[in-house]
Amino acid sequence: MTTKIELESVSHSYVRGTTTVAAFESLSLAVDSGEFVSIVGPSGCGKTTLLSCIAGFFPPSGGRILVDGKPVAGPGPDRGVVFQSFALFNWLSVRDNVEFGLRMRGIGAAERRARSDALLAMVGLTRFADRYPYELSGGMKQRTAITRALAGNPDVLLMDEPFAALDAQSREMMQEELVRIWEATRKTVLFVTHSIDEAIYLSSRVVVFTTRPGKVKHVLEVNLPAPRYDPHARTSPAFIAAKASILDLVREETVKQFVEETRS
Amino acid sequence: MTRTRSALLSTGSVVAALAVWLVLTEGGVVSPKVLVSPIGLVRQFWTLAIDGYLGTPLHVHVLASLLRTTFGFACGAILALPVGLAIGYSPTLHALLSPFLAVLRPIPVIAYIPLAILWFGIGEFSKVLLIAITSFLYMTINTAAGVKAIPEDVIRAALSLGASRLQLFAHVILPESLPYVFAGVRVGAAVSWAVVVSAELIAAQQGLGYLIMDAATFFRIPAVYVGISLIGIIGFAIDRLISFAERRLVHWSAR
Repeated sequence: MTTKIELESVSHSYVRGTTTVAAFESLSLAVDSGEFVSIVGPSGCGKTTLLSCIAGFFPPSGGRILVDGKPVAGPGPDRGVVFQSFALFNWLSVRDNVEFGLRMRGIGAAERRARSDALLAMVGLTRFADRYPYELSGGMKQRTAITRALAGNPDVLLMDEPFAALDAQSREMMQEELVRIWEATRKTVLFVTHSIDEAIYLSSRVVVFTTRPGKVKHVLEVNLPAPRYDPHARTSPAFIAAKASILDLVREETVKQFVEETRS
Repeated sequence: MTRTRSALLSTGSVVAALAVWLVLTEGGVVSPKVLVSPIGLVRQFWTLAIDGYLGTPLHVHVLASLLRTTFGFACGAILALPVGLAIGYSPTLHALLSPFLAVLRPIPVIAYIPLAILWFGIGEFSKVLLIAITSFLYMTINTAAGVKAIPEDVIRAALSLGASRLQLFAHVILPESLPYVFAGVRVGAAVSWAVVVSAELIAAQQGLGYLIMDAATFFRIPAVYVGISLIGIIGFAIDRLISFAERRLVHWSAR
């Protein structure tokens, strides 16, 4: 296994009003190629900020982020990003959303079409290709956004609480869908979530962050029985055991944060 | 409320207002010197349409006003789009330019008239300029607001999909701000059309504004009513036209 993403004591702080807020501090983490890693932790622990740094939307204040051994210099199509807000282009059809990145990179219409056809079929959106985002349900919107991120065939998929805005049923369906996609494409996925269940169900490893400034508190290997997309995986003993230990870890941090907030 | 119900209510209220107007004027409650009757208005419109106003056919006046509005509005809009996009996108440009826009916006266009005459004379340029300034100010603000309203994530999504800065402008920022641009077009066109009356105060020889001013000066009150009604009806038609284009072009907005 080769290392795909490497964080070398990465820190980030930003100014809010008159105070400097440290989002996360001296984070070190290596994600292997083809791994599915989730990050969980209390609110405001810098999970999303870290993902934005890896995506290259802004540089971290300290440390280095390497993808394929090269420092991240800005956003790029080698790292697909999926947002909680979907961030779809509302004036474009589902197909045009999916083809957007290919079009920006000057890929011809025929090739774009072939690629979007294949991807839309893979995620079951073929019937919706000519619909517009406002005609879709939340689950369908996020399915479109994931497909759009996959279209450029990135090695890395960065997902920032992608299912947080969905109702419980579509959320579980999308999780199963994502596992299926991951098993079919073997992308390196870094997945930020608030849901411990979601993290365990999806990931090969779960990274637990401390309260702000976020640090790696614990990394837990998850070994759910295959096939992963079996819904009963969620009630297997391995799942319950993993959930119990992560719950304890996150709870410790949440209590710490609560004490901190009530004191100040 | 359903579309049909709302259309019925609107039609009903217009018919009711016409009826009250008819009864008040034809019934002798209000003197025709104070308020023209609908029948008198139609008769006067007919006379003007056939004989023209002071030798100039009515449609020439209407076209003169429409032409000035269209030209002034187009100039303002063409300038407003890039300026609005730039101000909305760049906080630096916003900081540099917004004080001027903020001071200029509340000044009614009629206040510029003496200056426009002083600087540019009493020709067409001054009139078109006033309309252009008005539509420019409204549309710049709306376009800038449209750019500012674009969610950060949408811009980030485009960048991470490989869009260059130029592509970002053409393929994301422009279309994403179109609903706001259209709101600006609608207000800008309405205000431009209203401003044409003020602009035609500058020694115009043609146009609905000229017609109203001239008719008022010589106490041809029914002609004044015709001019005012025409401005209202044409303004309404312009708004419907833009609204139609808006529904076709920015189908994704307001859903």
